[in-house]
Amino acid sequence: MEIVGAWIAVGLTLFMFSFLYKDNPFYKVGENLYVGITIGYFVIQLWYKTWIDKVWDVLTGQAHDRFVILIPVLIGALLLTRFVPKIAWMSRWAFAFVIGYGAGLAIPATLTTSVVIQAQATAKPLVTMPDRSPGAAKATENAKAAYDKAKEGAAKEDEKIRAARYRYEQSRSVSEYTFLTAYRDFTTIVIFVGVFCVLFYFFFSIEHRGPVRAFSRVGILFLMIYFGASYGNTVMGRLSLLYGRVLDLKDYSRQMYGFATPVILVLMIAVLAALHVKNKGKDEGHAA
Amino acid sequence: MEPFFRKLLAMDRRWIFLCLGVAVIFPTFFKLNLPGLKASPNVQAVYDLVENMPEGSKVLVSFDFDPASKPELAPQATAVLRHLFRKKHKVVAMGLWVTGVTMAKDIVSRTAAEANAKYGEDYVYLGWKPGNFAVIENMAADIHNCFPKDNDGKETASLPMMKGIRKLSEFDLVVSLAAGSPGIDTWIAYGSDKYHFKMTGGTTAVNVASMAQYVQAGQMTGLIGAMRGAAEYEMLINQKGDAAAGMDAISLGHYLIVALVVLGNVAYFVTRGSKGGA
Repeated sequence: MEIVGAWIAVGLTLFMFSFLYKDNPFYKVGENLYVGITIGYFVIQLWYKTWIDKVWDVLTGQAHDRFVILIPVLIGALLLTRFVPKIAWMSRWAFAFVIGYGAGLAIPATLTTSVVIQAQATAKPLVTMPDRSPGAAKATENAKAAYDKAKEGAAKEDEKIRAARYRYEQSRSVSEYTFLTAYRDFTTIVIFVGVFCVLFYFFFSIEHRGPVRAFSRVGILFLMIYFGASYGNTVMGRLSLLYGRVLDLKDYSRQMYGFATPVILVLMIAVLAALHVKNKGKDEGHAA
Repeated sequence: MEPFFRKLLAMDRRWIFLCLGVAVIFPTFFKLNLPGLKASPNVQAVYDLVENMPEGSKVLVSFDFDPASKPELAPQATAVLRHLFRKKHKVVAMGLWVTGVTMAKDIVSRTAAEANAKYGEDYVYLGWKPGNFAVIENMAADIHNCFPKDNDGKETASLPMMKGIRKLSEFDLVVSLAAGSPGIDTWIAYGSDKYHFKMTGGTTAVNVASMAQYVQAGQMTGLIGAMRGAAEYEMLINQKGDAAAGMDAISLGHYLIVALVVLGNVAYFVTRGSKGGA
């Protein structure tokens, strides 16, 4: 069974990668299978995890209020009336419920999380005052003791010592004004300037001239840095995905999987070469 | 030089695919052990959080990704679960992405077996339920009602570990390993910001920049970013895995892309203005 799984995984991976050469029948097969299997998987999970667990088992159970479950089932079933034009209007009740419930939950939650708390974090004091309380001093003392202990007897700095030093520096940056505190203040200022200038860039109700233009230009710089960082991260992400597939292909090229990778790769190259020759012949025939 | 650069700009892009393929495949056969990997503050913060919790703390791990993001997030999940089991924390695993259910179960079972953790006593896998944020709201009210059965069909209430856990707010930590939405942002908006539990997580490289705002604002503690973050976490727990092994391939790929970007720009400026140039 494991060998079958390996051959399917290798086959589908190479089918999808073959698009890098050009659009071809292998890629089309892989693409359609992906869509079909995903939907099939979703339907099966939905059947067992929702219909069986949350409806059937409840209805066939002993709870005295078990029939209450029929209310949401009925509302959900109304969505299916979309398929019968004469009573399709009934589906609006279900949509009204879904949209009302969704909006009611989403609007306050999103406003709090993405606007209020983010705005609070942006409006932090630009310069941090050291925490002179005995608690902060004690925490720094403890962190220093832990760092000293980690260093004891160690020939060179390893990950444990580095972690202890990191915790000590973090703790010290709260009780005293250190380089780390200054660095944090600097980042707070950068965030404040960034938010301020980017907001100016998106301020379309006045003409961007004079100081407004200057702020909006700085805003563009911040946006470009964000896009650059996102693009860099995207490249890293895609390379990680490629590495993941390469690792699996390498794993499945072993004898215990029936040399799945080299066999399928050679077969695919042979078929693609044959298709290329056939299509070339056809094109030449058309040209003649 | 100009004809060379002109030729370069007109080159079939499939040669670039081939070069990139070689750059990623080569280190999987020949280890280069490139230097430079050390824990970033965000990964260190996640590690410290797990490390400093008292033994037996209740931790919810949400697998909010599918096999498409497996190379980035599976090593993160493996490293975090190894750490959680090593510290003898009680782990409840689940997921908000339907296509990740089986993959998540494999990761949880494998890491639990390594640590000799017992199902039902040390860890539980609840599986998936539809509804995205509605699942979180439901779990905040009653986990047993939201997940009447675990992924294998056992009554959730019958599992010894779950007897002491009824609501989301009873968890000491929630970890969301997310490839998008629903994921970290959903758990923060409908979970930790409302019901006030400690939140951390990991995400793919594409999402790191947009999730970092939650760390900055204190809405979550630390963030493991991409395969590199997973490699850093593996280093912190002293158990190297797939992510650490993949760093050579990623680095080599990056060097190649940077070189191509520089070369492309040089070619553009050299051929600019000339006949047939860029």
